[in-house]
Amino acid sequence: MARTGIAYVTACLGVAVTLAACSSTPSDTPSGSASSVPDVTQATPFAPMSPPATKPLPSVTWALAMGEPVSLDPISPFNSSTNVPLANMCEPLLRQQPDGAIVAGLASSFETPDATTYVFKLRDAKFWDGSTMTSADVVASLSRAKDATLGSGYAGDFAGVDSVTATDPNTVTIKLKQADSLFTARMTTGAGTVLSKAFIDKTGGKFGTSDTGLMCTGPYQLESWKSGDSINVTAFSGWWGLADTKPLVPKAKFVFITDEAAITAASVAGDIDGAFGIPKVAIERLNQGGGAGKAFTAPAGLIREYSMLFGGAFGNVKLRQAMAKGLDYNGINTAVFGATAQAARTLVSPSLWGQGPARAVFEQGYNAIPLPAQNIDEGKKLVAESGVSNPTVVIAAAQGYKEQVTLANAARQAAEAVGIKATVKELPVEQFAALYSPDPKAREGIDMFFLTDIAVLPNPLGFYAYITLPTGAGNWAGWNDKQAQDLVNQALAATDPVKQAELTNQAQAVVMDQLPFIPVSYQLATLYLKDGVTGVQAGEPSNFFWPWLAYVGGQ
Amino acid sequence: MAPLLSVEGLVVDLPVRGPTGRTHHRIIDGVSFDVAPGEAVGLVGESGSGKSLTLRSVVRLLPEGAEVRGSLRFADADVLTMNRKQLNALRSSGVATIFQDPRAAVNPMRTVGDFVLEGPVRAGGRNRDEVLREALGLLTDVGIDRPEQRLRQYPHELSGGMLQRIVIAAAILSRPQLLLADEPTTALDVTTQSDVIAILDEQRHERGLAMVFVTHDLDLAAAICDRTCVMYAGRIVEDQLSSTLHDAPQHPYTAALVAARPVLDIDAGCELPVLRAIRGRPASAYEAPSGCPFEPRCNHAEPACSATRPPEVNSGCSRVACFRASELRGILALEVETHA
Amino acid sequence: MFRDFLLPKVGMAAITIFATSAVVFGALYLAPGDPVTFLTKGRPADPATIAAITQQYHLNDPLITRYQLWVSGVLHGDLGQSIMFRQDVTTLVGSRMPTTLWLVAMASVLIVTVGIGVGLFSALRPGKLDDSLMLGATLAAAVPIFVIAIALVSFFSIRLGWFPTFGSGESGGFLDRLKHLTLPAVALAFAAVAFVARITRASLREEMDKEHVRAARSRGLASSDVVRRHVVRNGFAPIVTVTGLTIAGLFVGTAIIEKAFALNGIGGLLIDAVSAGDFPVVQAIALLMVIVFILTNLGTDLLQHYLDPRQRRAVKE
Ligand SMILES: Nc1ncnc2c1ncn2[C@@H]1O[C@H](COP(=O)(O)OP(=O)(O)OP(=O)(O)O)[C@@H](O)[C@H]1O
Ligand SMILES: [Mg+2]
Repeated sequence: MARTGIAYVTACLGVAVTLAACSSTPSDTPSGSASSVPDVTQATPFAPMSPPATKPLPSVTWALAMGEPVSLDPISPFNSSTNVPLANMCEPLLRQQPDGAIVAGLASSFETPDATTYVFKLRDAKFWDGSTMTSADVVASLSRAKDATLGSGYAGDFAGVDSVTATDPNTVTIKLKQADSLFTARMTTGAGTVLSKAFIDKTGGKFGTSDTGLMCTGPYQLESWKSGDSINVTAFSGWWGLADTKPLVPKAKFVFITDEAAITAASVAGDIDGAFGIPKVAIERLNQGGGAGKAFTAPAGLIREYSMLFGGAFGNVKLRQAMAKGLDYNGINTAVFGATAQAARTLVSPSLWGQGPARAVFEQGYNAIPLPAQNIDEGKKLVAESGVSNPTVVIAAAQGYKEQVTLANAARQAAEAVGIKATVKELPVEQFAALYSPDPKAREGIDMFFLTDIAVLPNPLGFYAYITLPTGAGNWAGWNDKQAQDLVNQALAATDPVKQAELTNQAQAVVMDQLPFIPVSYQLATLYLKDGVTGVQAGEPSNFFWPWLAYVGGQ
Repeated sequence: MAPLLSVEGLVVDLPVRGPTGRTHHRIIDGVSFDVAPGEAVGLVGESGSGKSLTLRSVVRLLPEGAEVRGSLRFADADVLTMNRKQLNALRSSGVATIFQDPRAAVNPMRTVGDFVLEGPVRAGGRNRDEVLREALGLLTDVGIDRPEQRLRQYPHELSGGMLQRIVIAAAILSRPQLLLADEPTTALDVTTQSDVIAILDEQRHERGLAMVFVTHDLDLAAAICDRTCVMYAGRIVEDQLSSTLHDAPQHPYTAALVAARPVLDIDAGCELPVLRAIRGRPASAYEAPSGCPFEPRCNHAEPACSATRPPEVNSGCSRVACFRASELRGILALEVETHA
Repeated sequence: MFRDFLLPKVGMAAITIFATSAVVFGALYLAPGDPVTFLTKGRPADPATIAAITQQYHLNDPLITRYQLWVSGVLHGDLGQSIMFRQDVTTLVGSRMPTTLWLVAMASVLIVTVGIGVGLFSALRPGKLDDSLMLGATLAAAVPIFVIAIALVSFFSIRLGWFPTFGSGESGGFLDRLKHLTLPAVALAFAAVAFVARITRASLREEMDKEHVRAARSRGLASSDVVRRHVVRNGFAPIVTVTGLTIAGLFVGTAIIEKAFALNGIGGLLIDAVSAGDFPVVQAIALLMVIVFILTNLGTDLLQHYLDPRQRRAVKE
């Protein structure tokens, strides 16, 4: 299942007090389609964000736009503040390349003697303290990742795992309860990240805090974490990957800037060398020119969507479809999201298609779905066909978040345009966040709301499993579509990637017809690079698990 | 003998912030008087007549923005053209002021000793020990016991009477030629008032100091001053020997003041003294009519009184500003007598 | 002195601290933001995870029980563990402290020098400049703090490049710190400088009109002596009090400044902790702020006591 989340409602809370950082949107509800946002099929999803680096740089200062990580523990729930620096320090068994291909990581190879058995051969890697990584480290790490009580955000990935055993010092065997075609993808994230067992034993539960630090195998080692000030890393001279990749930056400093105005100022002034996730205002300001660097965007695994709940009128599929016809996609994206939006045909961005023979299949499936467009007449027709007279819906918005309120109002306009009576209900942010909790009571009386979700597995199946299956954490609406569930389950059991992709496409078609979610746009990954700094290969999600810093340098 | 202080045609305009911005109000309107060395001159008049401002003019302690004209000479020096240094010299050793309320006039946050010594030492530039010795003697003279201890105390630890004696001692300590005393006993309780006056009078005589003494009390003025000037609406309307002012007032205003003062009549037994108020309200210089300023309240006014300002007329040792002064002389004396 | 003056004050301080802790605890309980949402990053979590978190932080216990737990911890010198950072609160707050202290110290220097300086100047030199300074002060006090921050950064950092746009310079030397904290300190002190300037001016003007100042003048004292020994000395007490309390109040303002300049001191931590429902951290910082306030109050009281002989007498009696 995909790691997903609404990073953007909760993560911005702390900032909202100062500058309403999360509400950088124009006040009026978008309307009309003056200009359209780019359609993915017209762009190359894997063009590097910036050209390869050729020269060394003495050091770089990188800003974490979501603030100081609360933990660098690889099992802590996915969060860009944690994972952006961590990707360079702690490594998973398998790695997700910037182009989405799954390649060897700390496991130099793996075999699948049968559909439910994975045998990982470990490479000869050293921890920063010089000790050698063994299968015991892997077993200890994976059992931590499995344990929700340790605060693991990846416990769900082990739901289908039967056992993890150290067959010999260099071999780990994992048995599954049933076939899971996403299992290798899962091992590219925090779920498969390996820490030193000796270090875990020494620090107990407190791993990856600013007191205890880390012990991993990655190209950069944690030099210091000055709580409140910076995280400093230095290149690790014993990294196993040095034969292929020589880091050009001997040391890097991660600083924490959440305030939108502050990060904009720091970018324009050139006080930082780079930052992922810079806000729209910063991009607009940098695009005006005259700053010390440039803004870049790249496809990412972020989907902006309306979640449809089934308790009321939207239990009727025709009304959900009518709703999708009423939305002014271009207007919303242009007015609210600007440069960070990319038109979305489906719920899964092309940056998650991965590589290999499946990729072309995913592309086909994607192109088979029409680009959503406003069509009021058709929407009215669908309302008439629904057989529901005077449908009414309630659209929830997080109180005080301008973007939320704007999007709820855009939905209300869309609903009314096609003949669904709609009201907007602003909920306190905690109550709003409960809409996607397991508690069904929290959703009573609400028919739809807007959210941004993140998928980090390089396979669309991850996201569709997450929203389709009864056990999927993204299926808070309780959507119970037998056809979609069967297709997803078959895809999960499929051993052939092409077959898996075809089944996924079919599931996707059902999802896009039934519309448990209405996609609005993909959120592009944003990047700031100071002039003279380059080498960032791709956007998210690979930057969260791939040692991107090892490729950064000067030009 | 040349006068020690000579005030001639003193005019003071004070700035007021009115609804239409900054304007000036005339407060003192042509005051002239002389003080000979060793002479005591009383300044009496109703509230607001400008007594205090006249006094403050002498040492140029007027509010910010005040405009002063006329001539002010002290020991033959022109006070109005003095620079800062000369002015400080005048204040520190020529003229000493005794204020109405010693509690307000002494810095509550500093010791009494600080206050006493500050003037002669800091401003007068004299040797501290020498001044201290002199001060201790003086304090004893003005009736302060344990003066050393007093000097270490703070003003709030002393009674008002004691404090005013200290203020008087401090004034004398600076060895001035002229004392300016602005109602120095009004803020004190009755029992100490006469003590303080006695001390002031005694010290002044001992050292032959001249004094300008502002008071509401005509009897007091008569008792300790050689001459008394009566002020009304920023002018001196009468200037007379204190000894005769009482029995032979020349200005209707003086007569009215004399008649209005409370007198305890022994013969009247338990009856309350009769107070004869002056009708109407005292006027300030700027609101006074163009003729005689007292005309609206005067029982003896004639049409001519409101036409032009009566000039100050000298006769013998007295001076009066009233058109009818000579005709009224007998009548006014009678008025005062019936009352008394 | 100790028994009559200090002891009651210390007693009051203890009661205030205790009451504040209870109020903060209760308020945090009612406020939005809870550890579960924070720890699960607001994304759907499975019931087992939620149960584990709830259990670990006693979230299901009644308010009173949780408060008792916390108080008994504090009495044993244990401020608890941060829910956000899984770290000792003492260590966490301690590590964020220097930046905030530096910031407040620098702002205080500005307030004392510029605020009191301008006030003194205005009080002593009435005229056009004084009028415009006071008008400026009135306007300055009304500008929101983050607007000042943005204006300062865009002019001094981006346009002129004199100061860095963010960071505390913690890892650098003394000068580096000064350079990093100059703009934040200016932004933080801005309104307070204006306020203190106006209070200073008003207080000195009032003092200048006092009879004893006129009396001092009448004795021929040099103007500078009069100002120093009488006007400033006497007008100082209210200025000291107001300045002291203003400086103590700066700690609250640091929250906005620290966010705007990415400083990560106590104030920024407080904001994050409140939204995460990290009550041990909120408590610790709130208490710290209350203690600072009380100590400042005590300090100004003591100073007042020392400055004003009348108060000394009042205590003796
Ligand atoms: N600083 C000032 N600014 C403006 N007007 C003033 C000022 N001081 C005094 N006045 C006015 O000048 C007039 C004379 O004041 P002054 O104090 O000389 O009166 P006075 O004769 O001493 O009265 P009192 O017996 O009440 O002391 C009054 O009308 C008063 O209102
Ligand atoms: Mg007076």
